[in-house]
Amino acid sequence: MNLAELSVSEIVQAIETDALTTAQCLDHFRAQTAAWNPRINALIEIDYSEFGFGNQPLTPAEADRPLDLLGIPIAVKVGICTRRLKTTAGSSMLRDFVSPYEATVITKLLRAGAIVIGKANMDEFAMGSSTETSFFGPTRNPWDLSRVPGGSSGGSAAAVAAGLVPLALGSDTGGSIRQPAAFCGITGLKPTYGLVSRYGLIAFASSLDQIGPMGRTAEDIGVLLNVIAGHDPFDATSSPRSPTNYLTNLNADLSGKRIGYCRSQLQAPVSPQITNVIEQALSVFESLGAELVSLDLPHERYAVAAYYLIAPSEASSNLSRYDGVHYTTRADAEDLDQTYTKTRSQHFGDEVKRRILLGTYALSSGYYDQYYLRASKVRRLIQQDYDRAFAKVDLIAGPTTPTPPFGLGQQIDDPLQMYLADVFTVSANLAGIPAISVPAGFVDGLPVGLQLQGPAFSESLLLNVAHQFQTATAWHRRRPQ
Amino acid sequence: MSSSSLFATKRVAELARLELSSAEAIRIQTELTSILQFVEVINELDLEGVEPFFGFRAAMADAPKSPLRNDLSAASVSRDRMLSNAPVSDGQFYLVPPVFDSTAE
Repeated sequence: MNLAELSVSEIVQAIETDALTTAQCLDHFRAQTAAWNPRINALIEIDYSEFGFGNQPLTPAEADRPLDLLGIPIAVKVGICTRRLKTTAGSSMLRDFVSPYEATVITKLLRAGAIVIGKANMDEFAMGSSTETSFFGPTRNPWDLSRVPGGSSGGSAAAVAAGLVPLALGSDTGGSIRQPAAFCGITGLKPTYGLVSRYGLIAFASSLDQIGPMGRTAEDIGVLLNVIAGHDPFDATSSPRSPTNYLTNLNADLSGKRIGYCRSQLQAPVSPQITNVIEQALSVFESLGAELVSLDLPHERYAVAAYYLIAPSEASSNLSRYDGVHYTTRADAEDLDQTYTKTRSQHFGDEVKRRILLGTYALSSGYYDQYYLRASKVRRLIQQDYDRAFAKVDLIAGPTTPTPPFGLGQQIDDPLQMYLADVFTVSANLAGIPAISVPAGFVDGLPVGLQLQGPAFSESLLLNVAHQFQTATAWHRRRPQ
Repeated sequence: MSSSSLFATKRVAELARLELSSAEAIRIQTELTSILQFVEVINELDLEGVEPFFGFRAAMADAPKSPLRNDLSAASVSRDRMLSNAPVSDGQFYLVPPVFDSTAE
């Protein structure tokens, strides 16, 4: 039984029917971790002791509920709170922080029989697109160790790509699940805002952040989505909608489905090789019976600008709590104000400081109207673009990123260049709609992702279309050597 | 900051409780100036009459009122556990240096 080739459901079934033990399952992934992690630094905390109630592996008979993730090892982005293993958010500020409570998504995972075996590296406080701003060193792309895995959920993406775990949790504020999924050749979904509880996610930008599943296939991440989605009374922004089974329509055929695409996303600044990959993907949809519809998102060209005013503004507020008083790290100082200032100055990295300063400025007296308020009006126009688009199509398809994975160190000194990597991903966060990235091809041996965006709460459709694409293609089956 | 004043960068830094060395301040000012120039593109748009959008709130779409619950207290995380991450604590409170330097007049 080659665990690297089984789906999550197949592994669970093998464990349920005693064809495989949890110990054997963990041994496989532990060996993968030992072989790869020293080279890629995907996981920065690792712990293989078994979780579950009473520390004994659960059986379906013992539990009173379905164990859809029985025995499955999962990597959790290090900005999501767990009771064991540190929650550092990739920052010196939280280098010793062990959370006093666990995120709602973790409680749900454990109740479904999953085993949290490690915390995955990330850009500091989720600010970045390359996992180079982590205090704990960069993560490397398993497909080419001289390249970035993307960010900020680069550790989660690299862990899945290298086979350390079949599933991982990431978070996405401006593309931080989808872009690393694209760069690492895996599948990652940012759910509709409010579908998955943010309770226990270290906040970056509260109106944009979402936790989401990452794995090798749409089917696998659908299993995880089913476990983590749903209303949470501890998150006031969590949707009161009843959860649904996002895998029910997985195999629905695509005939008659209308898939939109933007011509503007198939030309510069997108590399011609990526355009080629995406055009091939669109032909696959056509051959599966979908109708391709050309459309425009007229305000897309303002999305990165709006995002880089709104997200830093919200971050400047969220990160004001890190003041040396509560969260383990404190610099020596004579008085309280100096405690705040020295702790923050010594323990935040450059990108975090840049964004806090930008946000503080954009919200400050005399500038709020000009920057934050105007950006929020642009956000309204972007949301309306999507409403108009989804009156004409069921989904929008396009590239996840404008370029293939870039080299480590190549863009880190040019913040603006780095921000432009998010050109196709930020709009979904601004509007609150769901979006998924699936492997769609390779350029010079490096993975390329196709992004599908849908209306609010259309995860079932996104997974269906992604799954049908993965039935007709084999990009997601390739593995880095 | 688009008026290129090092003083302005330091003022914003003070608001954010960040202390920048002179070299850092110069570098960050250059970076922030270029970012602010980039985001100026939104000024191309006529936003007259556009309602701002502060984020998708399914709760608002599905239930117009803010979520409420009965005001009942329940067990929460214990004090010990909450203080386990305190840099300095007396077991009851987080302890901090005095607001004013104790040697100040």
